[in-house]
Amino acid sequence: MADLLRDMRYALRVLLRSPGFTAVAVLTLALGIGANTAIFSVVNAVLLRPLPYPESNRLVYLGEWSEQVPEMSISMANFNDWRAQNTVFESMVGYQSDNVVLTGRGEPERLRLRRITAGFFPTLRVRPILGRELTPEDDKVGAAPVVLLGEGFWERRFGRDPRIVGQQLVLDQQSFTVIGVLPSRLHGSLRQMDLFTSLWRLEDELGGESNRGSHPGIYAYARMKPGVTVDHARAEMKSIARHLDELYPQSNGDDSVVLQPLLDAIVEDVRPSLLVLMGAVGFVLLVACANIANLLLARGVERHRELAVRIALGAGRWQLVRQVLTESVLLSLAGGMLGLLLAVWITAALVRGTPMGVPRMDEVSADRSVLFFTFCLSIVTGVVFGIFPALEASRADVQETLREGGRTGTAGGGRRRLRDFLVAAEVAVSLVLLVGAGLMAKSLFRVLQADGGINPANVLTARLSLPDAKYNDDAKRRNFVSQLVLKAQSLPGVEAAGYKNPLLGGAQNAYVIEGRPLPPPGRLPSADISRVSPEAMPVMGMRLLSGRYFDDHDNENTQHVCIIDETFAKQNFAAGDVLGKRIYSGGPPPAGQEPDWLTIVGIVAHVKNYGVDQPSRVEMYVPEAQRPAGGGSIVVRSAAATDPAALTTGLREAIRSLDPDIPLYEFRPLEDIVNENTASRRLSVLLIGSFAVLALLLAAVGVYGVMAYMVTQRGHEIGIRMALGASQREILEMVFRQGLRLALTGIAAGLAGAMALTRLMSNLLFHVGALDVPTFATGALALAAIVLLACWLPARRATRVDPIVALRYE
Amino acid sequence: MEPLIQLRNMEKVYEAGGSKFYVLRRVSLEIQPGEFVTFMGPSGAGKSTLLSIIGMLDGSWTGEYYFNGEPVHRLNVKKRNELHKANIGFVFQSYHLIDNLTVFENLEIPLSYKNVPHKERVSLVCDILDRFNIVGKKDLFPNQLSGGQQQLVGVARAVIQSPKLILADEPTGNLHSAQGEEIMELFRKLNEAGTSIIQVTHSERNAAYSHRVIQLKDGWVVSETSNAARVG
Repeated sequence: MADLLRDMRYALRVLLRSPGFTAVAVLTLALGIGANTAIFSVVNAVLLRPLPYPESNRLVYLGEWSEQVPEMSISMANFNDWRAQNTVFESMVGYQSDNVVLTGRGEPERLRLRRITAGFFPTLRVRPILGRELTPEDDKVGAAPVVLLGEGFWERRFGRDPRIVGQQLVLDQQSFTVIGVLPSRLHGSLRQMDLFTSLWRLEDELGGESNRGSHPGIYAYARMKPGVTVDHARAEMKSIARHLDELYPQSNGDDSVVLQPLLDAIVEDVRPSLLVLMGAVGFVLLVACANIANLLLARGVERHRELAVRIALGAGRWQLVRQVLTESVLLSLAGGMLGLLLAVWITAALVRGTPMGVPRMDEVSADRSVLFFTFCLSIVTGVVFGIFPALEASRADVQETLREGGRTGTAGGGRRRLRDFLVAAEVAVSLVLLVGAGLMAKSLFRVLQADGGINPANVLTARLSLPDAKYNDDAKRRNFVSQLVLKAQSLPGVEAAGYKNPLLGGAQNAYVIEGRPLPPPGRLPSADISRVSPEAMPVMGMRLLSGRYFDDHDNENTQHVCIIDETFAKQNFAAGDVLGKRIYSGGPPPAGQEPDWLTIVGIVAHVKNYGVDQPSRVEMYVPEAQRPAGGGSIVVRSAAATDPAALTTGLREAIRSLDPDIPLYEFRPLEDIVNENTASRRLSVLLIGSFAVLALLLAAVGVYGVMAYMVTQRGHEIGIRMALGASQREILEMVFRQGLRLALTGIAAGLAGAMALTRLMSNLLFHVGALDVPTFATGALALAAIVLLACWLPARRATRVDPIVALRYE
Repeated sequence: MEPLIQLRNMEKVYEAGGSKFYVLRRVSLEIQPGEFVTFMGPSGAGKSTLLSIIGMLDGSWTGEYYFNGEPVHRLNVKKRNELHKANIGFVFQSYHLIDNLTVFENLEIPLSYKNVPHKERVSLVCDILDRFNIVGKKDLFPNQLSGGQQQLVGVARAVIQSPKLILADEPTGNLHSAQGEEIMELFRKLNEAGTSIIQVTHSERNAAYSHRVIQLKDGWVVSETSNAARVG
C-alpha cells in the first residue's frame, strides 16, 4: 500500500511537470469517458436497473397472441381462466388504460386513468402512502365507484392535502370517492397515471364472461412464485391457452400467450438502439485510448533514461510496469472525474432531447452504479491505454540508454510499429463509426423521404372525449361531433376541419367479405378501423385513389359504407373490382340475422400510422355519423397564411360554447406527431454522428501526431535527402506515402470491421442495406481525405527542413 | 579466497547483415573481494560493455561468469536480477538521478526495489544523508544541485544498499577536477571499508586510485598492470 501511494505521488509529480500533455490527455479522456458515462446512465436506468419493486425479477407481463395479431389484449373470460388455472403465479392482475375528464373543480381537466383489478398494487408490493388499497369488494359490478390518486396528481392538484381521502371527484360526469394515494415510486407508465380505479366494476362493458372473442384493452401483470422461471411460467400458460383453444375454438382459434419479464416488456423496443449507441460510444473511447497511448509512447522516448536508471537500480519489470501504469490510471481517473461532470451535462441534454415514448427516461440519474461504472471504466481505460507504453517502457535497453552519448531520443522499430498500429487502429475504428453513422443517416433520409400517406402540413389536432354518462346515445354523440366540426370550419383562418377517431391507427377488428367462404375460427383477417367525418380525410391529405370520400349523405339513415386502403384492396380484390363490394366488420357475422354490411365506396393510399419505418396494418374507414363513439380528435387545416397553433383559442371557445365540461387537450400540429415517430431515429443519428465526428477528430490528431513525430525523427534523413538533391515534391511524397500507408491499412481493417459490425444494426436501418456500398465508399474516401489532410502540416514542415541545419546537429 | 568475479572466455558479438562484430573477445579475468580495478582503453574497446555484463544489465554473451561463486551464466533473468539487486551498485558519468524525485526519494529508490520496509528505508536514507553530509539537500530536486553534488548523491545511492561491488562508468567525466578528486577520495574510502570497485575511465589520475588497471582494445584484454603507485 505504501508502495502504491509512493507510486501515485511520483506519478502525480510527473504529470504536473508536463501540464500540456496532462491537459490534452485528461480532456481527451474526459470526452471519451464522459460520453460513455452519459450513455451508460441511460442504459443503466432503462435496461439494467431493476424496476422499483421488491423482487421485481419475479414480475411478468402477459398479453394474448394470435397469428394475425402477435400481441393483443386479453379477453376477460380468458383472463379469468388463466388466473384460475395457473400454478406458477402468486398473483395475477389485469389493467386497462383510459382517459377521463375531471369536472366540478375549476377548469375541466383530462386525466390519465388506469383501471386495475384488486390486488394490483399488492402484486407489485406497493402500498398506498395515504388511505387504503382497492379491495375485491370495490372491484365488482355494482360496487360504489372509488379512486386512488397518483402522488404526482395529488401534489399538483391538491397540494398533498391529506384530507383528500373520502372526498368526491367527478370523473366523466360520475362521482368517485377518493380512497387513497399511491406513491410515485412506480415505473414510468404507472407513475404517469393520475388515477387508478376498479376494472371489474365495468365487467359488463368489457364483454364479460360471455364474450370471449372481445379484447377490450386488458393486459396483465403477474408475480411468479419463488423458484418459478420465466420459461416454466410461459410453458404452463401456453398449455392453458391451448386447452382453452380446444374448449372455445370459435372465439380463441389458435390464440396463445405472450409472457415476458416485466422489465423486458417495458424496454424491449429501445434495447437494440441503446446497445448500438453503447457500442458506438465505446468505440470513441477506444480511439481516445489509442491516442493517449500514442502520446505516452512518444513521451516514453523521453522517459527511457529514467526507466533505464530504475532498471540499473534493481527495478523489476513489474515494478516498472506498475509505475507507468499508475501514471496512466491516474490520468484516466482525472479524465473520469472531469468526464463525470461532462456526463451530467450530456445526460441532462439527452433526457431533454429524447422523444416521448422512450421508457424509463425519467428514471435516468447518476446513481451508485453509474459512479461505479465511471470509476471502473477509468481504471480499465488507464490500463488499456497505458499497458502498451508500460510494457514497451519496461523493455528499455539499459546499456544503450545509459551509455554516455548513446541513443536516447530515437524511436526503435518496435515502438514505431506500435505507434503505427495504434493510429491504423484509430482510423479503422473511426471508419466503423463513420459507416454506422452514415447508414443511420441514410436511413433517416429515406424515412423522411418516404410517403406516409398523409400530408401533415398546416394541420392542427386536438383530442376530446365524451363522457358516457352524459353522451349516452349515438344521436347525442353524432350531434356533438357534427356541431363541433361546423363551428371549427367557421373559425377565421380555418380552411377545413374534420373529426377522426382515433387520429392515427385504429381499433383492430376482424372482417369478413361478402360471398367469400368463412375462414376457420381464429383465422379471420383483421383491419384497423377508424371513424371519420366527411372532411377529415381531405384535411389530413389522405389521397383518394378510386371512388369517393365520405360526404354528408353518409349518415345514420343511409346505406352503411366504408373506405379501404390500397393494401386492403390488393390483399382481397382484383384490380378494378373493389368498389361496391361489401364487408362485415367485427368478427364472424351473427348467425340468423342479416349482417350490417359496409359497402366499399372508395380506396385511399395506405397510411403509415405508426411511422413510415414501422409495420402497419391494413386500414378501413367508416363514417363517424354511422358509428359514433365517445372520443377522438378534431383535425383542422389552417389557411396558408395562418399558423395552425393560432387556432387553439378559437377551438377552445368553440367546444366551450357546445359543452363547457368537455375539455380539448393535447393540441398538437399533425407534423409534430408525425415527426415524433422519427425523433428517436433522429436522436440516434445525431448521437452516432457526433461520436463518429469525435472519433474522426481524434484519429486525425493521432495521425498528425505520428506524422509530425516521424518528420522530427527523420529530420536528419530528410536533410541528407535534400542535400543529395531531393525536390520538395519528393519529400512531400515521402511523408504522404507513409500517411497513406497508415490510412489504407486502417481503412482496410475498418471496412472489414464495419462489414462485420453493421449487420448488428440492420434492424435499425430503413431501406438501406447493412453493406450499402455507397455509404462504405463515402466513409472510406472521407476518412482518407481527412488522414491526408492531417499529414499535410507535417509534410509541409518536412519540405522546410534546412539541410545545413539538420546536418549540423549530427 | 574465492574471487568475487571470475570471467572465462567471455565473448559478446553483434550480428548485422550476415557479418559478426566482436565487442568482447575471450575475456578471462578474476577480481578479488575488496579489490579496486580500473578498465581503460580507447573508445570502442568494450570497457562499458564489460561493465554492463559484470553488472548483469546485459545477458547476451557467451562464456562463463561466476559472481561470488554463483554461476551467472547458468542463472535465468530473474535470478540474475536478484543477484544484481543484492550485490551491485552503479555510478554513472551523467549521474542519472531521476529528475522528478527529490534527493531523499532518489536514495530510497534502490531500497524500495529490494522491498526494504518503509521504516528501515527511512532510517538507511537518513544514515547515508548524514554520512555523505547532504542532509540539507534531501528535499531538493537534481536540477537544484551542482554536478558534484549530483554525483555525490549518485554515489550515495550506489552505496545505500551496502553492495559488495560498485561499478562506476566514467564517474568523474562530467566534473571539474576538484569535484572529481572528491568523488575519487570517496571511492577510496569505500574501498578501504571493504567494498570492491570497478571503474571505467580514460583518466590516468583516476586510475591511480585502483589496485589494478586492465587495458582493453578491440574487445581483447591486452594488458593487466598492478598499481604500485596507488593513491593513498
